[in-house]
Amino acid sequence: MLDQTTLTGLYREHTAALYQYVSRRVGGDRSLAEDIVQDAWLRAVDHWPRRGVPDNPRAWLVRVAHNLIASHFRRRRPRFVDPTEIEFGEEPSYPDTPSAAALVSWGLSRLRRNQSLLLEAFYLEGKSTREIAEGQGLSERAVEGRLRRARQNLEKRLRPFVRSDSSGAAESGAEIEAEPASVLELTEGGRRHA
Amino acid sequence: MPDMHEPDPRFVESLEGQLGRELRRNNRSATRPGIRALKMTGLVIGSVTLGAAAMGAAQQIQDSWRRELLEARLEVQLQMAQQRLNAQRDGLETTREQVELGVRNELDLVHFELQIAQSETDLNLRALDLDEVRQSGREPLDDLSAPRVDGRDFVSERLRLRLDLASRHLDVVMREADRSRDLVRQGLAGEQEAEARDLAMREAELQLDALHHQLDLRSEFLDSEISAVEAELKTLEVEARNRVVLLDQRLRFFQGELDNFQAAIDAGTVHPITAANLRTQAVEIEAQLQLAQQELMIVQRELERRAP
Repeated sequence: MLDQTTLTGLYREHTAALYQYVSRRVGGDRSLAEDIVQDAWLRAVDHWPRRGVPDNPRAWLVRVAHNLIASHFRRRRPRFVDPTEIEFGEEPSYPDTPSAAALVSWGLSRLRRNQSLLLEAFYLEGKSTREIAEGQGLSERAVEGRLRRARQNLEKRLRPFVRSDSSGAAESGAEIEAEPASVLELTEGGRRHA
Repeated sequence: MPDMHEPDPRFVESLEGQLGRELRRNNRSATRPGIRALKMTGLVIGSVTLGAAAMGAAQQIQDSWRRELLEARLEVQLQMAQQRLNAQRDGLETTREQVELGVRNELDLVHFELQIAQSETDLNLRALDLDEVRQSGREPLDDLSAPRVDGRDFVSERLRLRLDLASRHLDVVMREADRSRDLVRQGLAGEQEAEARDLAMREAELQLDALHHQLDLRSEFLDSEISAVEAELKTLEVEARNRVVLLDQRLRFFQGELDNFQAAIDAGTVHPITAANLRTQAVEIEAQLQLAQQELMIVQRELERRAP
């Protein structure tokens, strides 16, 4: 059984990291981040006493939060965002505005789970292809190939919603326009390998 | 400047407290020994209504003696509901015979059957409450964001029972509305009678819609598609919107009644107190309507604020 002291210790150890993960995924939308962190912890308090605390509690919490975020955004109609909000730079990064983060989270929720987790690990958690490869028992080359396909799939989904006249967040599907390929720098060159 | 991705310390502190409470509740449920059914019918029989009120509060049961007391109360309520149902079922045959003999009409029988359905639902709801108390070791939780108990979704089970009853209720009021319209056509009833029945029918439809909506929200919550707060807000939104629609309809009905009475009021053939009562009711409904509109606005603003 999970006792109070253990829970408090785990809570204090992992909450800040969990919150940071969620907050970055939702572009700093505080009320949404708090809802998701709260839900993830409530699920932990429901599951852990019965099934035991997982070996890696933070990974468990992040996985639950990942699912909650995906569920949240999957149902929402994406809004257009400005190209300047959604660039991936040289360093591991993630959109830092709620609107762009919402679009990327929506796009990730439309990908296969392993692809979205891979992109998260690379861009959000800042893991290198070598680290990911070691974690998954794959070759670095295989990870690079998977990353490339995941980026292409994400780009395909996001491209229609990235446009320079996005003010007003037009939402009509009829108004969707394609953007030049350069808008989203979701390319291998957008990120240094470790 | 604080990092935008750092949690608010007040949120962290508040959630820590909430999780502690949740854990204590779960642990009590997990270690609960077999609960003995207290045979204290005489003691609690006067507290049955109090027990029902306490259920609504759905507070955590801190001590085992409180839980046992609640269980005993629920057992008594269940027995009483069963007795009520048995008595009504006994009366059903008599009513059927009276309808066949022409002493009572078909709608009387329909009403009687609806009453039995209400009693059956009441009985089943109490049985569910008792099951939940026994399985969870706490008072039943009826919020859409309440957790499952050992994999069992008591919230949806209760909603489905209410849904079945609301559906039967709607059938009955629709039949009444049809009958009223027939009577109006035959000149045996006034337009007001038909309007009142139509109003009751619209109310029953809204009630049924609200329950369907709640069941959908519950399902979305369990699938992690919406958070607990969203579930609560969306429930409040549906309730407030339905109240606005209902109260608006009632207000128009009462205003229509007042207009219909006006000539009689002017002629002095309606007692002034009757007219005053109608006006008071209309004013009260108007105030309730304003409150419901305000509630709806607040909830929708919060939902909008939370929308991505």
